[in-house]
Amino acid sequence: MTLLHDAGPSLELSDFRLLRDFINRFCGIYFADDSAYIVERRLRERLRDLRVGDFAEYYRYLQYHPKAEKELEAAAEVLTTNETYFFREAYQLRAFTDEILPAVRSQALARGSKRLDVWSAGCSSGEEVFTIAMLIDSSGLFDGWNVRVFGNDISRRVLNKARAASYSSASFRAMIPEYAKYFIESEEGRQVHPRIRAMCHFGHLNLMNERRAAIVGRVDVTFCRNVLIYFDDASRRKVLDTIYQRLNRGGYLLLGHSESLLRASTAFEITQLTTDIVYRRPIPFTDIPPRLA
Amino acid sequence: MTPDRLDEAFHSADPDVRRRAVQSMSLRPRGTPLEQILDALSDSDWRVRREAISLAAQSAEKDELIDALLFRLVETENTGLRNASIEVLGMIAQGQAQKFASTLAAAGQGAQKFLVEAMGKTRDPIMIDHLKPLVDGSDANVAAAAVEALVCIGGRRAEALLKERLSTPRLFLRISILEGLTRLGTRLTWNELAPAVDDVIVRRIAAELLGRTGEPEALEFLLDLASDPSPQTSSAALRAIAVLASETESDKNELIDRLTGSNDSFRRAIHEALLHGDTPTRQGAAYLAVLCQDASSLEAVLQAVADDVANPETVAALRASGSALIEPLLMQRGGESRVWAIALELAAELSYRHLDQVPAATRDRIRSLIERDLTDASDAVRAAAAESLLWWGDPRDCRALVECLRSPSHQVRAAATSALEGLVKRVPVAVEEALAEADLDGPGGADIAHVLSRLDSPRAEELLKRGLHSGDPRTRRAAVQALAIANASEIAQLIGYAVADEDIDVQVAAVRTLGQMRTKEADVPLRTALDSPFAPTRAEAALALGRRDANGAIPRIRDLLEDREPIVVSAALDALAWLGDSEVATAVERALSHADDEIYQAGLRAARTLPVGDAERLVAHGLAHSAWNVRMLAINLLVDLDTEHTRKLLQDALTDETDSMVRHAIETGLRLGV
Repeated sequence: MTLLHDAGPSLELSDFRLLRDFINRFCGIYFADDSAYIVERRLRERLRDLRVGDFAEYYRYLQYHPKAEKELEAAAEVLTTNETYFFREAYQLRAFTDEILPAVRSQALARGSKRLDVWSAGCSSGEEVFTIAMLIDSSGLFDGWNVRVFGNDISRRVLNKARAASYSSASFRAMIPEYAKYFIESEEGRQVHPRIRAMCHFGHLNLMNERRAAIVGRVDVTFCRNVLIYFDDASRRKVLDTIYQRLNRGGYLLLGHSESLLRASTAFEITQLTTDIVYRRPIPFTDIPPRLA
Repeated sequence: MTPDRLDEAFHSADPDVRRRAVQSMSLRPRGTPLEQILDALSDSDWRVRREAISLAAQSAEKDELIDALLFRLVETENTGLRNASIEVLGMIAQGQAQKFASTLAAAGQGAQKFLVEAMGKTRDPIMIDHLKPLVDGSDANVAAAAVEALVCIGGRRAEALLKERLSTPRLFLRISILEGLTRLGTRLTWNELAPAVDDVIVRRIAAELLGRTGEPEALEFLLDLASDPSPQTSSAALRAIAVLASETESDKNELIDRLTGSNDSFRRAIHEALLHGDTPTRQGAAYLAVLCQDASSLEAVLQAVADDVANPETVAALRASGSALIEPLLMQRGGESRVWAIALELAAELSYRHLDQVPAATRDRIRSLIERDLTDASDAVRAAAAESLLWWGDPRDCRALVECLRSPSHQVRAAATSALEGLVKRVPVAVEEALAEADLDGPGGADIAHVLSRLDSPRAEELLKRGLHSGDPRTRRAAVQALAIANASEIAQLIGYAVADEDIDVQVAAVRTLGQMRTKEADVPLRTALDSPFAPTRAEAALALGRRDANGAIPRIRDLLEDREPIVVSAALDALAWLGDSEVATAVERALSHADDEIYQAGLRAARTLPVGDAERLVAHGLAHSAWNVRMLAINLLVDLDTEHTRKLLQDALTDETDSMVRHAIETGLRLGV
């Protein structure tokens, strides 16, 4: 097994479907039939590690082995794609800074609260979490507020990286120079400033586990960008239900630019901002002050 | 499950118990009261709801259920119930357009989109007439949902309705329509699309449709779009061009010429996408770069391979390259280690495949690079060097490869094992000598055992016996597996000890190996394994005894039918069927009323061993199972039975079957029968 050659057991279509559906039920990731080669290649590593002879046996292992739960996490870990960088999709971040942050500030003040909660669902190695924190900090709108940005992921490996908060050049491919002040040079790379790190929290959370998601609490904005593209419709809907439940009324959901605006969930309302289209948990008519209704 | 136990399970606090209860109900769906179905659909756990959806779809009280679900869809705040209702209505509410229309008219604005979504899910073309005014209505959310519903329904009418509105001035609606047509797989012409792509956001969304036209004007438009300063737009265009290129067959060379002759900004876009694009974009860009033979992007293409982003077509195209690629590959030395690893391995392979075209000096250079890189600091490079010895290896490399087996890197050990396996076929004595002093207690113990198993010599067998004493359970397991080649009673006794190993995986391997041995000494440890505290060991022991015709073990294996672990019950049933146990028919009846898929499938397999009439009747049960893999097994067993009655059963099953893979199995089976 090398980066180029990958010999090993073949993944029959029927075994692929069983494994795909099993992993899908666990963490929502979904592979279409034409992506079977990715599953085959990535899971072969697990087969070799466990000295399991073929994929049918691996499926049984996941179902019945005493260490199946741990293995399922390991399988999800190798199958997830962790690709992120600072200030990804800048036009959307502009909408967040210019329109969403002022709106959620007003909503919070109307509730008599000076607290802002943002959730980065599927945060990978943390670049998005820190980007959000930097944007909030530099907006100046929340000075003296209790601000928390929470990031979760199913991969323990990337969460370790997020907590270390040190990044190499690949993470800075879309860096905006004015935010360089939020980094300090370290031996491991550029490290996020302690003040920003103090605003950010991380947790190991499977988005499909709606009960565990209660840890997130109520949030004003959720970023779930380029996560649901790896999910099937049913899992996507389930995760969006969870996100919906966790959002304050009037709270915003930001999806990635390549994600459909239509197939997400009909529970949200579509809101046209100046530079982007986002989702919002509706404010019931009865909650709107009479003057605005 | 008895009705009382079922009811108890249905109200359990454990969601998995509730899920199994609902799954059991779906075996007798017509006996489940409507209220219970609705309760299950509003369960707090999604797994239960998922089972409830299958149950509801089979309900006998269809009209009442539709009324109840439409009511709940409008009224409920429970999002789980709402989504489940949409799913069920989608499955059962065909021909109910009028009911939807009257509910829509009475529903508040917020609820309309849920009804519209359910209408789409029915895939009933009659719904199109009711959706049409909603697409043109003023509520953007409802209009978008109506477009989505039309996409779900599909067909010419829905497609035509969307196409007619392609140039709508309502930008959001136009985006929805373009996305919808993309998903429908619609092939538009350039002339149809051109008027709609006057907006910058729209162009990006229309890229895939543009690619699908296959028309030169669209390709030119996409090539321009690929140079767009917006990375999102450029990426969408590159992905579309890649699809267009991979789907083009007859004019492929013409297309490659056009791409190869494209301007610098297109190549820059490919390069940028390879470096900074998301996964699908890098995938497309890598393919285009290889197609255009763009040497300036070689490093970035190799990086995409290293990141496991390149698709198999790209890797295959790289490996099919001629010897001209060897020098550019060797120039990657000194770059990022994973990129160099791929370059080295590819150069080694290409130079071996094109030996007569490669100068001797280049061959020598490659050979010396391989030798040097076997001790490189990077695991990826060492692995690549080791793997390259599959082609270039000779007796003098054996010791270095065995040294690689001491590496803590799984990747390096796997590559060295692969190379040594190759060398065993050519120079077995050299491999055996190199392995004589190998450390079976080190990290590569299991890999050494694996190579030893290929040698088939007394010396190798002695070494493998040493492996049974290793402190690492993976080595013990590999040694047990490797010793399956021996069949001596002395070895059976040694492996018998491994049945009592403290590691479950060693136990399972030992049981499996003993099951393959013909010697009688294997029976005793196998019987003791039936009492292992580990379920996989008990299951494996039952299977091994079943395969060995160990009739004396039947009473003990029957006990395992009461085991709490499904895997053990399933294995016991398989074993008893192989042994021809007289009580199998009773066990089959019980298994076919069991909620667990594994036990149910074992029941089907065991049923196949009964007299033909019973087998036909019992295996046919599986055709109605909710799990596709269970139905698939039933079909394969019926095909195997191949009687007039089973052929009729298969014909009938073809009418109801919705899963494409299962349908394919039926069709293949029927053809074979004919």
